[in-house]
Amino acid sequence: MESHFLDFAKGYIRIRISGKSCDRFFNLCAFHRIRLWDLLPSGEGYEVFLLKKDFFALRPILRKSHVRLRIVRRCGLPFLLFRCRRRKLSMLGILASFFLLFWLSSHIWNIHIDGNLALTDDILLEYLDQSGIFHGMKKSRVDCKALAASLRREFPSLSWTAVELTGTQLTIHVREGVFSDEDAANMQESSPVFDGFSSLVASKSGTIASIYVRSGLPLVSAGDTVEEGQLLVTGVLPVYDDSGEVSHYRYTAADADIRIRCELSYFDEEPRNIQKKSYTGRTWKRTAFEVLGHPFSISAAFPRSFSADDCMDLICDIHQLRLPENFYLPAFVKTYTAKEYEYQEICLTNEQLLSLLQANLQLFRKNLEEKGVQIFENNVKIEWTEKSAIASGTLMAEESAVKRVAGSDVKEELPQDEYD
Amino acid sequence: MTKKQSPDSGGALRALQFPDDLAKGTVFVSLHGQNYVRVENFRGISRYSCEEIRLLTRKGCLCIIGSHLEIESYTRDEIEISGHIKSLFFPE
Repeated sequence: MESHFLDFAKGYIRIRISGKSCDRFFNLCAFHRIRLWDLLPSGEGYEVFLLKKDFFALRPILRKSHVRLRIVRRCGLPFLLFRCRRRKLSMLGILASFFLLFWLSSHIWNIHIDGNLALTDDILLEYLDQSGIFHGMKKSRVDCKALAASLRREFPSLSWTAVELTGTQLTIHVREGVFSDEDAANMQESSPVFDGFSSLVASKSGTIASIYVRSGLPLVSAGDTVEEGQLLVTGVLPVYDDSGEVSHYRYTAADADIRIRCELSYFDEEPRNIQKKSYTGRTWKRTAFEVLGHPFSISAAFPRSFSADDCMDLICDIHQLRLPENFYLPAFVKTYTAKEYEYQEICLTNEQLLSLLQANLQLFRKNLEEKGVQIFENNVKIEWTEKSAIASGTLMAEESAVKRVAGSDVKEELPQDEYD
Repeated sequence: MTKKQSPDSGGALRALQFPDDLAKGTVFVSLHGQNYVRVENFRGISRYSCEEIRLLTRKGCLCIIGSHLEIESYTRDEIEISGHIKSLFFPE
């Protein structure tokens, strides 16, 4: 492969020789260190390839061996450049395109983030920008391991990060943790050591549905009514001596599964007369390009300029050009579409209002159930007025409404009569 | 004038551990299946056609008989021949 490339770079010629002593010609070429290849009989003579520089050394050999020579074909870079001598600019253009591709492949032109939910792309991209990671930077300056570690340090809610550089695309994979920052901070406050302890208090008023204590001293039992902020499980454990008196206290982090049944209020109102958006069908499209941050357009602009009062939806589709796989280029195709719409006054019927309110209630219940709240009674009533329909009432729900507090924040009152 | 006798260098060469092809100038033939042969340590081509290639060696000739014989590469040190090789022998 390499020898073919070198032969092409140096230039080689196919010649046809004929005569009585062709064998002597070959032997003389070999003696003079002239390399021959693809030697084939051709009619009365032979055809063979040799390098361009060796061709000029054939004169004495031809004289000695009394053979005739004819050039059949010229191949290689020197002959190609000679043929293209009147087309220097096109050759320069081809060369420049290779260099441009090489230069483009050494930079990052696309940053892709996946797996993020609460943290938006804009937040992460802004942090990357501050860290010196931006579109158009050199790939050699990116340290993937250090970037992944810095993302985990900066955003504690990320439980896992990975940074991958393939082609001209930088891909950042993240996974957000189950707990929010507040929960993580609350958990960090609790400490099962003597110089700090924690207890569990009710975060809502209601009735204890079930309680299962793993550590700590329970102060309530199933069926008890509790108020918001009331102590449920304490981390202070009294240790009694032989006489039954408290000798000292042991401190721990209270841990328990407590389900509280509480009442949730619900209110929803839907107006009878609404304005519905309907598209007129008139659309305008415009295509624009952007290369290395410089925009230019090849199609006509929109027929008129749009103001804030116009009822228009302006949609912009941006596609980044790329070669196969991950070779993204700093070129974008932007398609702008303007769709005209108008508002129509619609008066909803009772059935439509009812289905709307029911759909809202279902969505509310679904959101609660996703958070682990169990709804087992629905006391929502619908009220009809002249201008709207109102759904209001209460939902009996059962949830784990407990909150962990540091021991120093809670006034401890132990029920003495339980230990007599 | 008598021809100068060359001293017997066989023992010296063996002592110096010279390889045979280098010391005695023997031809070196590498046959790959029935379609490719490489010959080293030869003097030149005596005859070449699509059915027969005759090479000159230091101690005689080497004949390669076959069909569609082509010389892929020919230098002073080695020659590469491809094609359908039927026989390869040293004629007397």
